[in-house]
Amino acid sequence: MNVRLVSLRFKLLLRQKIGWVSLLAGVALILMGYSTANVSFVSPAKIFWDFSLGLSFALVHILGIYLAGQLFHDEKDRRTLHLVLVGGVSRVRWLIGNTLGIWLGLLAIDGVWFVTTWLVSWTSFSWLGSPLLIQVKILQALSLLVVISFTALFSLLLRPLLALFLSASLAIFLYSVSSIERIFSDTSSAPLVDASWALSVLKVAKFLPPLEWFDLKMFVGYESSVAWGPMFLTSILGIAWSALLLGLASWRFSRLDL
Amino acid sequence: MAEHEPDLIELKQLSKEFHKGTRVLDSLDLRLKSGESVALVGANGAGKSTLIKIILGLVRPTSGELRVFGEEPGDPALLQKIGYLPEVPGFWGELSAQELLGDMGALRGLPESQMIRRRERLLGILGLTLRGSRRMGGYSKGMLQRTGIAAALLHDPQLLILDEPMSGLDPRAQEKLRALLLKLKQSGKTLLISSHSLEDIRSLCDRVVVLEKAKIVLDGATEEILSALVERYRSSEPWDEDPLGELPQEWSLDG
Repeated sequence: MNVRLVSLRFKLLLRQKIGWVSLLAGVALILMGYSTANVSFVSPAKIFWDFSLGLSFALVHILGIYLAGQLFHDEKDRRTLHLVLVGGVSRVRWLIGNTLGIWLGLLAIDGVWFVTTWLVSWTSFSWLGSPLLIQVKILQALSLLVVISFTALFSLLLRPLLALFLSASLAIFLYSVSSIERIFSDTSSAPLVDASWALSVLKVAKFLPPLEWFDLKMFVGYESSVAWGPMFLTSILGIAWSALLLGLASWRFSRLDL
Repeated sequence: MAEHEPDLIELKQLSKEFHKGTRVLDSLDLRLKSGESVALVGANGAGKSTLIKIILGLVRPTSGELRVFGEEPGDPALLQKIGYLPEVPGFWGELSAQELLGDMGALRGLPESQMIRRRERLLGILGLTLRGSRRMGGYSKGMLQRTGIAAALLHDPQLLILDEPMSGLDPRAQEKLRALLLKLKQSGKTLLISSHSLEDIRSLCDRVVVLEKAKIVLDGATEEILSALVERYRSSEPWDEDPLGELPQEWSLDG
């Protein structure tokens, strides 16, 4: 990995319209969430945090899929891919450096949103939060890395639009496996729907990254933290999946004619 | 050129076929020695850019052998010895030329002080001192080309591969670049220049290699090959699969 390459991608992201416009749009939406929370009679602080965490979760994933899905094709069309590769950077370093650059850029943007939310929560609702908020963000960061990694892999295998569509669909599926399973295994709907095929398709999810494990948002307001042991193991799992997916992407990239 | 000098680039029966069965390079044999200045000439689509990309390790040959500095192409350490200017240099419009050269120098592992010294010198030579701090999104084609030249020279490479180096430059800048390339040639650098300009080839290159329909059809001293090339162009048999059409007596699109 090349730190300079990571910082170059990070710098580019924050200078591109998509970077700073998303940053400002996110801050504006969080402030809108404040107005929404204020009209609620029940626990406005919790509503505000739910809104903010949900919003940042959706935005960083949409941005991550878009940026990682476009990265290779954009850089190739712009011919900056050739510039860097001929500049003595190996293909593996290019791929990993740029993927991590996108990831860190998004984490920085998410960090600004988080601080904005926390400041509003503290000043308006006098709620300082709990360690769980940090845990939510750590696992969200790792699941984002997994999503960016499989998007990068798809972008090297498929046309850009197809890669974006497949990545988005897979991310939605992996974050919703339990919900889908619940719908199809609900006995009250069994007479109407033949769920056996759907449940067998869901078994595929057992061989894919379990992104649901990384989503702790729903515990905010109910728990102050989750056990650090399982969280640590989940983090290791996220890193392992990302490494595997980036390894496959690197293998594919090293075989492409550019 | 002394015979015992090692070949800087050596191609043996090198071929490249793309997926749809199109053979863009067919059994090429070519040797480039250190210090040579060679022009790569051919019609659009003759395979010049693909050959250059193979030498740089961006495209893999289908068959044959290739050695660059005695090594497999594409190795990052090997690319430290090569400077490349593509036909249309591509940059990030969000960065300035100064920033770009800074990042490229850092990626190549140049020490900061050396990078800054070289960057300022190159920006000065190429007329980008005043505008070097502005974002490249607002640069003209000529300024982008000059930035590309600076990026290709920043690490002081032994081998320079230049694809249409004069493209987009005004006459004064072309003259300046020609003088610069002559100086580089005199300093012992090896030049591989892909160009359609016979004037540039005549003034810069000692040897010309002509690619036609994926094969090397002529290879020799500049004057000899350029004369043969002009004859070839004049020959009645079109050498291009899809040759240029005849002009009408008087201009009319509907006639």
